[in-house]
Amino acid sequence: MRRLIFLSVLMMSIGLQCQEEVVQVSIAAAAGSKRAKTPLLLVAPGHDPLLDRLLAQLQKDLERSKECVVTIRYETTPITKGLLEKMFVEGFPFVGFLALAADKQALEGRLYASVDHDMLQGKKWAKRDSLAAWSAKISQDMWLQLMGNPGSFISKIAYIQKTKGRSRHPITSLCIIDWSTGNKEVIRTGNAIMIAPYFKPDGKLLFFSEFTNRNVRLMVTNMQGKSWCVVDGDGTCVGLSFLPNLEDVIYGRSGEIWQYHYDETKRQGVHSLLIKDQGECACPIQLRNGDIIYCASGRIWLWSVSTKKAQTISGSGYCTGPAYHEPTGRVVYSQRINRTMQIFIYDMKSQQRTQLTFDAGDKIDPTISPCGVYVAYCLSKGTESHIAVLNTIWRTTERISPAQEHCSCPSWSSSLAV
Amino acid sequence: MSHWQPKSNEQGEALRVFRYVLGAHVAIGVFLFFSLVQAPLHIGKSLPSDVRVVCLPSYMIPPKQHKSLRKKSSPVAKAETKEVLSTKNLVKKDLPQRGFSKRRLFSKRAEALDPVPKKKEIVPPAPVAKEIEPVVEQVAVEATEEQEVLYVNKETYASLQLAHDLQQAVAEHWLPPAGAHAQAACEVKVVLSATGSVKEVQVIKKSGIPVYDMAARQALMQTEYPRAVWNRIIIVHFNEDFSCAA
Repeated sequence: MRRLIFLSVLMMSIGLQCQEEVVQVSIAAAAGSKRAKTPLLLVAPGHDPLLDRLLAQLQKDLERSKECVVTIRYETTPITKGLLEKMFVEGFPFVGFLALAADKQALEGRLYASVDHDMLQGKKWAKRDSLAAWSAKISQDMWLQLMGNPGSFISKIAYIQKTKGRSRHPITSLCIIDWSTGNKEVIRTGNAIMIAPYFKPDGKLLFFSEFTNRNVRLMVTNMQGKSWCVVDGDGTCVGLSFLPNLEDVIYGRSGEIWQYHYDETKRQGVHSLLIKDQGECACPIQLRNGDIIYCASGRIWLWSVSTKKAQTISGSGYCTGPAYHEPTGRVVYSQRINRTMQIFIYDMKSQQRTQLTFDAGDKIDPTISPCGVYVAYCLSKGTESHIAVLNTIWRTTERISPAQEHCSCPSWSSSLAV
Repeated sequence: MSHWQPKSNEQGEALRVFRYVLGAHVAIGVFLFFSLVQAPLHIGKSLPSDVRVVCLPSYMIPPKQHKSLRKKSSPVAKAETKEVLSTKNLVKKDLPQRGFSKRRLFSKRAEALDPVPKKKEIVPPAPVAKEIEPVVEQVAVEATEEQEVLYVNKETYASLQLAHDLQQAVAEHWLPPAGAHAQAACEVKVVLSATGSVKEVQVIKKSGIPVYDMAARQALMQTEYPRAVWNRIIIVHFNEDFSCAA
């Protein structure tokens, strides 16, 4: 009887305790739905010429991709829970408190999620050579905490510039432009034609193809301009992609895709044929799972490592120049629409294609930024050719190469750890 | 144990009644435990947008569809839900009061679902129009020929309606951050008070993008919840539509 009483009371109490039912629901962002810019408040303790300039540069950097709206405020009161709650009510879910160190050789900062007073980051950033570089480093670290990726603040775009020498002989230069500062640097200049630059994922080496009298060879250069030949066989070697281990490489060679592997035991490099299609294969990209994306017969193909078969992922028009962004699983390429090459993006997961550009001028050789927001490409109109960057969120374009220069073949580096 | 034995018939009768009462309490307790703890109300089934939903009693729902519905209502299926149910697809039908044959209705529905004509021997005699007509008492929108019809029971219908109302309420305030990629998804738990106000908002499955999680939390804090979900715990799965992801 006692057991019965105990059991009944227990079950009744549990039953009454669990009167709050769980309701589950899914919310998907509908196509074409509004997107919000994230408000970010930067708070400084007081005015200082150096701090003011740095804050202005930070605001410019963080707002560049138009994902954030930065507000700068000067507040002398200490950071309290009440202050953070007040800022959340004002519409600032993220607040950064920044102050110069006593010797002005570093910036001390703390980033908070104001709603639950969580400190997301607390760091000291040492002063850099330039204000832009200093700001880029701070922006990169803050962006990582807010967006979950380091952004493209410290990244570079390599491209080929063509000029004419004194004897009207064409001169080709391999150039690098810094994304945040806009500083241009010429890495290598020569009479031989250079094409298809490609950054090693760690950003320390830059590969490219160079025309010679007997072949098109694969070259590599460091950032100081010292270059050497990597593949100097017969045929044309254009297009390169590193495997995730950063040791093995696949490259295009005379319409075939080859793999290079260094054999430690034999102490020599081994080149092996990987894909031989009926068309001319070019621009190979190795995915993490071993699959390969390449261009052949005016189509973009996805070659499966498991089935050893390729299937097309591009549309019906002539397509060329694929580039892949691994974190988002998207492929960007050029496709001919009404006699004009336009930029398309293909989502590997949803298998959907989206046209990004519609205006006049051929847009070729697209490359995706490390954050996945920007696409840089070569825009050709008549005899002019320059490098443009498209913001894929807001579809705005900016030109990064000077108007008088003939530039082509852009290649974006990964986000560089400095 | 002799002191537990009844000393008279009246005492024995009282003890028996007392035992019955206790037994009833245990039964109610078990019922509450299993109905409220084991089977929480699940809403947000993954239904295609072009499906017309018809409400019928459980025993009238074709067995095959019944199974598929059960499958769809599993938490895994709910996590994959992308479509938002539209109100126009919700249609309510009730039983006829009399002159209704379950077999007739089944055979008629089978004809509608299965385009292959059946043998004459199997098909029961055609029902009288007067008998079938009162089946549909309230029809909001007539289904088109291409539209798939899904028969659900009263409870599922109510949960779908609730899901729809809740989705509408949250979607009004849901502004995904610019730049969130297609794979972004998070799961947020909201505890509502008896007055419908938000007691607690907690991200239980992070997207890896703090800005995205914060936008989801802000949306849930601003939402005015339908009365049916007051004093409940809501788990909301936020995800990105691939087609619009930049």
